Amino acid sequence: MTPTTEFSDGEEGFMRLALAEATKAFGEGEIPVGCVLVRGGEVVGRGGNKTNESRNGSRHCEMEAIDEVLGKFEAGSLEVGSDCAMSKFWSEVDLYVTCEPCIMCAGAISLMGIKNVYYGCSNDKFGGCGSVHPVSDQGCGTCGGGEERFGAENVRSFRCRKGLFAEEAIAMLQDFYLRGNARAPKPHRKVLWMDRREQQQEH
Amino acid sequence: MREERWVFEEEPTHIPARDKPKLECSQVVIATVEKKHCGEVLKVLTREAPLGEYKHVKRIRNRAVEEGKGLEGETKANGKGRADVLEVVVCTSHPQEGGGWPVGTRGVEGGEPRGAAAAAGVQGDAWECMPSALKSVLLPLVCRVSLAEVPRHSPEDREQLQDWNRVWPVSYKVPAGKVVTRSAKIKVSEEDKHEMLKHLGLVRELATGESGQRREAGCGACNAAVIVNPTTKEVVGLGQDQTKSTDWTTWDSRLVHAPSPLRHAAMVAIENVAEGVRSWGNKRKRSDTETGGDTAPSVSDRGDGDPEAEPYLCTGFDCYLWREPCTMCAMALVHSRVRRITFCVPDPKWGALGGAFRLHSLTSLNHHYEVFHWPVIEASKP
Repeated sequence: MTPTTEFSDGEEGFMRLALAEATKAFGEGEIPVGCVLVRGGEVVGRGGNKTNESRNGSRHCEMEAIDEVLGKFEAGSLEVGSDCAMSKFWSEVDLYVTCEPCIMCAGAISLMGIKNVYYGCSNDKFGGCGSVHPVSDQGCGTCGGGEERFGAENVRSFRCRKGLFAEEAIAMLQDFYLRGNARAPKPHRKVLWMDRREQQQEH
Repeated sequence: MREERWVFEEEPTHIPARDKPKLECSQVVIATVEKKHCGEVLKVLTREAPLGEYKHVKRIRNRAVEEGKGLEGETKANGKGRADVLEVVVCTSHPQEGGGWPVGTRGVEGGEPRGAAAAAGVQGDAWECMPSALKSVLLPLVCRVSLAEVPRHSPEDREQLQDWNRVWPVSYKVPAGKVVTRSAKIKVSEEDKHEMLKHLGLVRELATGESGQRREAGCGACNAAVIVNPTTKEVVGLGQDQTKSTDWTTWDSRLVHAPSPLRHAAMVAIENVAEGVRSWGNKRKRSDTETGGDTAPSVSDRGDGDPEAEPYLCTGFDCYLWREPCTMCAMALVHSRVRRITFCVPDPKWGALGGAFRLHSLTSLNHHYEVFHWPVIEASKP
């Protein structure tokens, strides 16, 4: 489970924080995916999956973290005023997420104008960074009839680097599905409120 | 009554969950036939070489008429008397895999497929491609035999029909009204259409009307989404594009004073549905501890199981949008398990449900919805 040497200590540190968000989500009965937003070496936002608590299938950790940052603008903790400054701000934000952003989140990342994404494991069911659909290359447009988005018009793509703590991210998801998703419709498996590690101790 | 700027057309178009077919051509043998012999030739061909999987191909082409429409053709040198002859598809230039059309081609003598380039002036070769049974019957009836290309597949919409007709006339069946979808469960009946139009009217009002919310949002051209429970026919959630709004609230009641480029109509509508589900859950929790007599809202009654069970996301619901959703919104609607999506204004550049690509054709997704496009036309200004 040693991380590859391709990533710097700083990058590993931020992904550890994303994994901590995933662990927190797991503890709250959510699908264990977490993310942090980093700007200038500082964490500016963080989030874990909230689809169960919110009863909203679109509340993935990326959306939670982005909204957290947007919420800080009012408090003045981030000095951002005009749209132009917003564009610049978001283009300097790096996103660390434990699992490949899904097609929806990849669209959101493109719309926000985020340029760098680090993720752990690939997502071959929904992955929007090449696994299922290359939103990271093609970008996402607006469907409001205008051009309300951040970032330069021509640049909708973003760069992805994958494989940072992929095994840890997968192990957590396996734990979750072993336990069973309590909110899934008509669960196929019995929900076990038990950690995999506890199970292993029993045996 | 106020005149509407946008008027709904009569029928929706189903957007199938597969990639739009591309133009592929097959080589066929065609015979130039004098009009007076056409009836007899067709009689023979219908019997000896039915069209089979090429049913979309029109058997006869009137070259003079086609060229009159400004289509490409030979030089005018041979123009004289052309109106008196028609071109008739006889059979494919090589045997078809797995039988089918045309039946007779199994008897091809030296039936090697021939390139289109070789077709010009190689009457002999084209003639050799025909099954011998046809040769003897057609010999006295045709002026000339040559090779031509026809579209291999049926066009999916009118636009393709127009394009592909330039190769060889094909037919296009309007699918609406008789649509059998992937699940074969969703058909658009007259009643259904009536229902769809009702909700699309609300969508139109929210997106283009003079509603207060829209002015507040300062949004010139907007999108709106309405989510409906088809069992109860009630609106369970709606949303307008809020990307220009500088004041909005997150699902967990945090105020935000900055615009978000993610506040698209579908995202807002999905959040609106979730809000209803949460408050229903809370109400039920209270009534469990108190006396009971809880009145479950329409959101729970989907007619597909236990009405007491909490609804799961937007399972079984239909979503109506003014504009074609972008990639983010289309995928959010997949995550929400929506049953059917209908939109009015397509987006060839960024639309994810037929415009730029078809998200619902991706087979790896764990949920698939049906997609309809209900076209609108702009009413002419007085």
